[in-house]
Amino acid sequence: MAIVDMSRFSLLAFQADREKLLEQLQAFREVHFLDLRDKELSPGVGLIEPDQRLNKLEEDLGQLEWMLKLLKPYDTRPTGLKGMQQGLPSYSLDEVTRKAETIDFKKDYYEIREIQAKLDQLTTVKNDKKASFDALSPWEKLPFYPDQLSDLKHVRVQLGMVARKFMDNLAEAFRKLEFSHYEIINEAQGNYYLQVIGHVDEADALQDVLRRNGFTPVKLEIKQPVRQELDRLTREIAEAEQEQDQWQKKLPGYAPRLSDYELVYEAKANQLLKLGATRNFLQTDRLTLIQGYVPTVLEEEFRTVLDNKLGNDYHVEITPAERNDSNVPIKLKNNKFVESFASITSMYALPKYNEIDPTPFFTPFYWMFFGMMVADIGYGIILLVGTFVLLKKFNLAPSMRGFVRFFHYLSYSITIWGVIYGSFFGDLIPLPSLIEPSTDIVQLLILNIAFGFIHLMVGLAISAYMIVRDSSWLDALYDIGFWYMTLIGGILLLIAVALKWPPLVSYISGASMLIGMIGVVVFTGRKSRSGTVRVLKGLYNLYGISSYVGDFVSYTRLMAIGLAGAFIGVAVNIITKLLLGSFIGIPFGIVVFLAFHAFNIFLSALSAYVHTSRLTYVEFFGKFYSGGGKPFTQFINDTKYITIKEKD
Amino acid sequence: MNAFLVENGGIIMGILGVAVAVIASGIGSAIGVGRAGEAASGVIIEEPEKFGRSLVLQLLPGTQGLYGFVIGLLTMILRLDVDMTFQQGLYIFFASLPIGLVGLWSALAQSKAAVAGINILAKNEAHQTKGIIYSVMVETYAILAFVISLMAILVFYID
Repeated sequence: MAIVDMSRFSLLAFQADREKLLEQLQAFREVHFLDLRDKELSPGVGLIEPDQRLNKLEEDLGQLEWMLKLLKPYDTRPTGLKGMQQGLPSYSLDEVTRKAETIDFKKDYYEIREIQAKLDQLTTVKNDKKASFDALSPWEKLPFYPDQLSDLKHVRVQLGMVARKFMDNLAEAFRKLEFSHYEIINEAQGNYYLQVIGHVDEADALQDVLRRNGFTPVKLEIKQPVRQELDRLTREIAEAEQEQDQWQKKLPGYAPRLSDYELVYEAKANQLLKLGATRNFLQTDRLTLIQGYVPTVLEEEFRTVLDNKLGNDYHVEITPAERNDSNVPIKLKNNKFVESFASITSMYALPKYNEIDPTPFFTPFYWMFFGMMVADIGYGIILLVGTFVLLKKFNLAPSMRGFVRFFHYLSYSITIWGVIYGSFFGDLIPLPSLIEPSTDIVQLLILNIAFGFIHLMVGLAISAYMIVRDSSWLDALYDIGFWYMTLIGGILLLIAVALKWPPLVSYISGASMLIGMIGVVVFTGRKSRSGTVRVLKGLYNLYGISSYVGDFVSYTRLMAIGLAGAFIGVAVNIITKLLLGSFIGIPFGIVVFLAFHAFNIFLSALSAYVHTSRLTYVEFFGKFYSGGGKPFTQFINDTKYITIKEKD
Repeated sequence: MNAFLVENGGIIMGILGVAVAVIASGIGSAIGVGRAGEAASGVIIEEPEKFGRSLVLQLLPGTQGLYGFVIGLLTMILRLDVDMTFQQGLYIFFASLPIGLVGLWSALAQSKAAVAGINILAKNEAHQTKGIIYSVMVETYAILAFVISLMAILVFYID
């Protein structure tokens, strides 16, 4: 089947060889380690202490990440379409390691950090000065600065603010004072800024008045008139900004080295993975125990890797993986067409090792259903050409490439169904159609349900196959066979009656249905010991027939979603025609046509993607598939900035 | 007054039908897209690079308005006629109720699922597609209602 066979290995090697062994295994890639930490340990066996270098690596990665983020705005490499066309640079693992060793990012890091520290410091300075400026600016018209007046013998001068709503009261209170006077320097933001002058003999009374009326004293720590002080601050802020600009200008100088930093980042990330892998292993005084899985086809290659590096100084046991072991990692292998649909499987759940890879089975249905839901020659051709150009002319990252290929295959189905429905950008050009979706509704519904029937029958057949493989023919008959008889018999009976076929057909199909139903009641509950429980369980299972009815009806979405998309297209065409009717409307008509059909392609494809997935997950998988396998992780990092070439 | 209704009742009901299809589903979508937009803005504050992905989720509750619009447009162009009978007008009015009402409520429900999907986008971007799927599931019912309204107007209408 399409789940790759796995072999489990237990490897004993000397501690001293561990590091070079890991290096080789990383080059080999196709190895998945088992986590041995939860195992019960025998005396003398322990976990491996985390490598000292891990901290250092993590620190380096943190620094690189910081640099990459900081320098991103200055990146001069092409972005957008052009960037996509170039794609990520591609290296072999060996090249990455070797090149990374020649790059010294530390020097740059310290320089950049210094620049950044300087920038931060200047920002703080600037902000402080701005705050002083803001605090001082309301006092701009103050004729003196406070220190000048502090030596007066008979008069005290003070500054302060009072809220606007208290101002009237304060003015009123001042009238009662004989030797005190206030002057309004400024009024801003709901406050009055006051200079208060009073004779020392009246000081206490003045303070009392001020306190009662919400006067907040302000002390200006300046040694020159306010105007001059403000000028000084403005000048200094400008200077700080200028200095900042100069430092800032140094940053783009590092941008050409971004590719280098990225390479080092990936190299270090791989190193981290390599050294970190030891946390899965066990050790004794001198030996390391490693357990894990390799694909069975690569078993020999795996042994060769070990031989080359370790000579005779190791012991390995390789056995085929246990079918029912839930720890066996899952890797799927299919042809290119089916492979494109594997993301649908993994989004639901990977199969367990004792299950079956559902991808090849749902792929043809997925392909067809998706096409039915979009069904437009124009949309199909646009997708076909678009994805073709992307695949041929662009250097896409592997996951992106898979996604584009997925849509490329689907575009054929969309075009074919467009021909069947006679739909070209909605109803732009009237075309002959095999099925006219807006009038042949009953035929279309029957077609949908027929597709659904086949889909479900295939699902049940896979289930039967798995039961036969894992237990016996008899179980398959009990659990699936009777359902087949019930469903096929029932549907044939319906058709025979509706189309007035000869009664013999009705009798046979009716009998088949009856036997099937009895079979379901009698045998599906056979694991229960008590007879009553068994029959009750059987009856409950027979009640499950209602869910089949629901399943069949669910397939009418094939028609519904196709119609929704098609008629949005028709509406766009109607509006376009209205606009094209007048001279001024022509450019608008063209814009409406392009923009809304583009939007409709996106919308139809999204709907089709989701609803086809639903038919696959709920109706189809529901019959035979549970999933829950763990993915096989290669012993290599998922790269962000480069792609690492596949081994030859 | 009576004579006016007898004479024009058909076209009045017909236009009322167009209005219900467009208004109700449009209100639902507007509220829905607005809600999802609010949630998406919250994500963008910290991570502006998620704009494109959040936009998909924001747009999901917007399709109901589009369905209502298509029904309204087709009705207006193909069916409305000053001479139509009262029965015909009433038929169109009722035919537009499915997309109007289901469009309104499904857009509201869908927007809640979309907001939850935006949470997935914020916290675990890798699984955002699943949030989209949950949200699009709600749309099934808007599509079903749309198809019924469409069939009623296009196929089963009796001139």
